[in-house]
Amino acid sequence: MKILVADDSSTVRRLVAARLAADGYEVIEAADGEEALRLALSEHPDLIVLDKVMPKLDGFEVVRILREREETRSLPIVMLTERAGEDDVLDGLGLGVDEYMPKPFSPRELSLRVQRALDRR
Amino acid sequence: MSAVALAAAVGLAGAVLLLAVFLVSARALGARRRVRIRPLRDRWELDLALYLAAAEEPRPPSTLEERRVLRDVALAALADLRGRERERLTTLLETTGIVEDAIAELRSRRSAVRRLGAETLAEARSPFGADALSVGVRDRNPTVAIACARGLAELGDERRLEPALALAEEAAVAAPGAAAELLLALGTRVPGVLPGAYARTSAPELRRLIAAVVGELRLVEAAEVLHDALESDDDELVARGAHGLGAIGDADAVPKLLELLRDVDRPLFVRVQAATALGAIGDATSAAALADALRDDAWLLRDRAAVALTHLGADGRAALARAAGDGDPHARAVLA
Repeated sequence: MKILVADDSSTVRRLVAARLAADGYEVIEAADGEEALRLALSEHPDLIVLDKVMPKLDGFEVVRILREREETRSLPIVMLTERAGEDDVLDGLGLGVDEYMPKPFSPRELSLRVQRALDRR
Repeated sequence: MSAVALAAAVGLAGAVLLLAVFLVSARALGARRRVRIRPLRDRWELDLALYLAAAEEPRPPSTLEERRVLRDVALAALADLRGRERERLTTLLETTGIVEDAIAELRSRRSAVRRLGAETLAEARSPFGADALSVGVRDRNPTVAIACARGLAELGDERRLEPALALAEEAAVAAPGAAAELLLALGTRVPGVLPGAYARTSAPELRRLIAAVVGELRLVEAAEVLHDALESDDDELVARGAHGLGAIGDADAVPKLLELLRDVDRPLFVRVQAATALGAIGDATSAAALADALRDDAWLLRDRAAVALTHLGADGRAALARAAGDGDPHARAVLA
């Protein structure tokens, strides 16, 4: 299974990618929202781990665009973000985010949430 | 132009030129360093990620520059991690000598270096740094002292927090931003100490900051601070108490909040905060008082009361509908 990890922090991207690779997933990475959208449409990942605050295109904007398109409408999305107030979580869930994880995060918990989101597909 | 004026002009031009050369050189050196350390940074980001995900022990850093890069990368990772992976990263910083480096930095003559050491120990949360941080709280430089106090707060050892709390009281007046940051660290790591600190102090600035932190972090276990704040003569503190109780959603506060809402002798910002908190708590028994507030002279209170009524279920909506029927513009706007 292929997972796209989109985060503008290279440290976070590598932490997440290494954890998911150790779980046996193929991982591709994006450093901003525009690249995340491009890879989501061209590489057909099975799930996206997406940061909320990113350059070029906000994470919520990426979700909105993906949910408008037939081919990515049901693509599982795990939002990983430092901004996880109640309103943010509700906005994200309203847009169609499947799982919401606040930073600081536990990579092992992220791994379980990714598995859960994939199982629900 | 006189000879003196000419000499001054030439001197000034020379100084400007020197400054420009210095700035350009500093930027060029900074850019060169970034290019030089980029591969090192990439390597350490990857090594740390593999260490945490697959337990692959990284090769220890062999040069001073490598140690600095490892520290930068590890601090960035620590800020985003929690749980067992965070603890393992702290262990790595201890075994590679980076915690020891930071402890040594606290003895430096340069305050910037001492501050870096304190911030590193705060982020690492290594118990090995506790003694050095306890000494550092008494640093002559207030910024370093606050950074050490935050380090003690991050460690979460209640036996060592007394000097940190004393420093918070001093800083609440002189540097409220730094004091708030310290109290946020305390509220996150050891929330149980905040009610005691609130009860012991008579400084209004510290009480306000503690009430704000308890509310912002929604510390239900410290809600007694906010209930006490509602009884204060300090209107700023009362407003922060109301805000916090609304954020927590504490229904026990409703009678007192209703009293504040109806008290026309209170400043407007207190009554507005009470109305907003009543809406956030969402108790239907508030509907009548909030409906009365729709007829207040202050438009801000009318507006906040109308919004609060939308959170009170059927009773709130019925009160709004009646007010809208009577031509109330705020009720109409909210219902629209």
